[in-house]
Amino acid sequence: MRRLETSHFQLLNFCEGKKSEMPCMIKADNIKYSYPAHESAPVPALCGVSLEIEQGAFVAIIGENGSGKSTLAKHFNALLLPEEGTVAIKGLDTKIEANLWEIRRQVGMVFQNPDNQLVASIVEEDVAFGPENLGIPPADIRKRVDAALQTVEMDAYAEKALYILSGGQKQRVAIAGILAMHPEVIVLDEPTAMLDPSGRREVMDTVKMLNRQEGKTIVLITHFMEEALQAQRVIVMHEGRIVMDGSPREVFLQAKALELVGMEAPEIVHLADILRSKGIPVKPDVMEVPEMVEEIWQLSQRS
Amino acid sequence: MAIITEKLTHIYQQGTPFEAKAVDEVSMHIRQGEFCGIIGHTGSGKTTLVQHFNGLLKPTSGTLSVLGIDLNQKYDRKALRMSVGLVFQYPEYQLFEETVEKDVGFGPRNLGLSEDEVKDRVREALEHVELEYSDVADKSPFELSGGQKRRAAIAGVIAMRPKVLILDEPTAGLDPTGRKNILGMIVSLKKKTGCTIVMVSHNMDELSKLADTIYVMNEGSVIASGAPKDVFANENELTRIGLDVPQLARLGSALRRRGFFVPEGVFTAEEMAKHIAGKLKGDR
Repeated sequence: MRRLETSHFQLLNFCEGKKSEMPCMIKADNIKYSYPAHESAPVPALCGVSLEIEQGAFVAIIGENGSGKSTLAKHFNALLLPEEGTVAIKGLDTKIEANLWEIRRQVGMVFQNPDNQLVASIVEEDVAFGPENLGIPPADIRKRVDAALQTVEMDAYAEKALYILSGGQKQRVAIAGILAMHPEVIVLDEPTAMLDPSGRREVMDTVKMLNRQEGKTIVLITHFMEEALQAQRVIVMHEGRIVMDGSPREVFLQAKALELVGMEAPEIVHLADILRSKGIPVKPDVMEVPEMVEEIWQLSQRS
Repeated sequence: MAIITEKLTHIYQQGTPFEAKAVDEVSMHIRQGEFCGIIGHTGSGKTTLVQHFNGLLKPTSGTLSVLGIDLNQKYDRKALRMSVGLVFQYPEYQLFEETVEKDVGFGPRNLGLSEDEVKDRVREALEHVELEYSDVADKSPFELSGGQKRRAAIAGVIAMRPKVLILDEPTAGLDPTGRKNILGMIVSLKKKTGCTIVMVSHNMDELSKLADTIYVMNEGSVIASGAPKDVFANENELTRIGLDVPQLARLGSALRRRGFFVPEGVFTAEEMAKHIAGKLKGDR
């Protein structure tokens, strides 16, 4: 297997110098973390990660299995604490125990397998679990549960059993359970990995809606480049470090660099590269099917 | 023929209020050495169908024959399971032994093969999945990375030297490199051993490039089958039943609608580029 020394890899940071007026939601400052290993030295998972995510952002994190994506995400709601460096959510340091409740209310997590994160047998009971634990009065819980289920368009299933739902529907219920806690940030760790194409579309539509209409800050970890394309910002991780950070266009046009870290550019970018190598002057930022259709059409009119 | 089904039907919990028809009169002919893809949304009956192929489930009605064994009659279950290997979804959850060697050798040992024969098979299987015997044999399977665990689990099935290998969503949850490795491994296994492959997948891009024949399932029935180029020509119908067509197929049909003719059934970027470039240059 090809190994790449990250230290030789130049960080492609396209975000530098682009200042946003939005307040900072998540701030990680040079965090390091390693997992204890059986009979050997601890395995480093994060080797000095710094990043800032502003309020209302939609950030996708991509990278190989084992590159540190999930470990990083678990630092965002204090499931893991950094060994070095600090993580702050809206200025609240995750290392201070008194901040824990507030941080976990602010940052909700959705995982890969819907069956591992649903706790009740009826949809609305599952959604009520979080707010109940926060000690919200019952009448308010009712309101929150109804609103959350409406948001993910699962209100028609409120009294249904969870086992009858499809994978996509289960993930939307899991998201509703988090929404009922009124979080500012939703972190999704490969939420579509186990779903079929329509389930994937359902979940991605819900995530985009939460970002655009409800103003939630979204951190989406994914292995699907087409999903990352829909974010505003893409962060690429490799061997516990951030190696690229920028808009989907800035990141995905670096086909060579992506390949070095085990990722691949979307198929249309790949096609555009081959066409250029054959002397067809495809514009540099063609990434999706409709753009490619338009570009080829234009080129054919010119010739 | 490797697998022949005629009007195969499976009803779960028949005669109870929970009765559910999961597979509905499915007829398919899978040739020996064929790469057969099965697509369909969650709950369309794909997994239930393939679980018949090694005798895990019995048809409620209809006929089924696998490698010449008639599964409607009394048959030798051991012989069937030796020749038909089934790799479940997320097979790494089924790793259980203390070492990779023991885990991969579990099946062959159960067959009562000699220790030498088991060793040979383990070596051979690990080679097929591109894991280095000396690196992993004595390791606990739980020390491996995600992609390696998946490959070790698949090796456990390959060690049985199946004539038909069934894989249910073999690339789910893997990163692009992991997906590429698993698929490359399946293709090379098929090339080296000539085995028949039946692969269930949600990834249309993958199957369009690999499969000889694709069966599309919806609500327990096969609603379309044929070469990828014919199956994926039906973009609207596939979208309607919750599936996708490969990106390049979408590009191809959109171009044809604009009057820019590229042939149907082009599923690799290299081939698509050749057609587009040829046409653009030819026009000049």
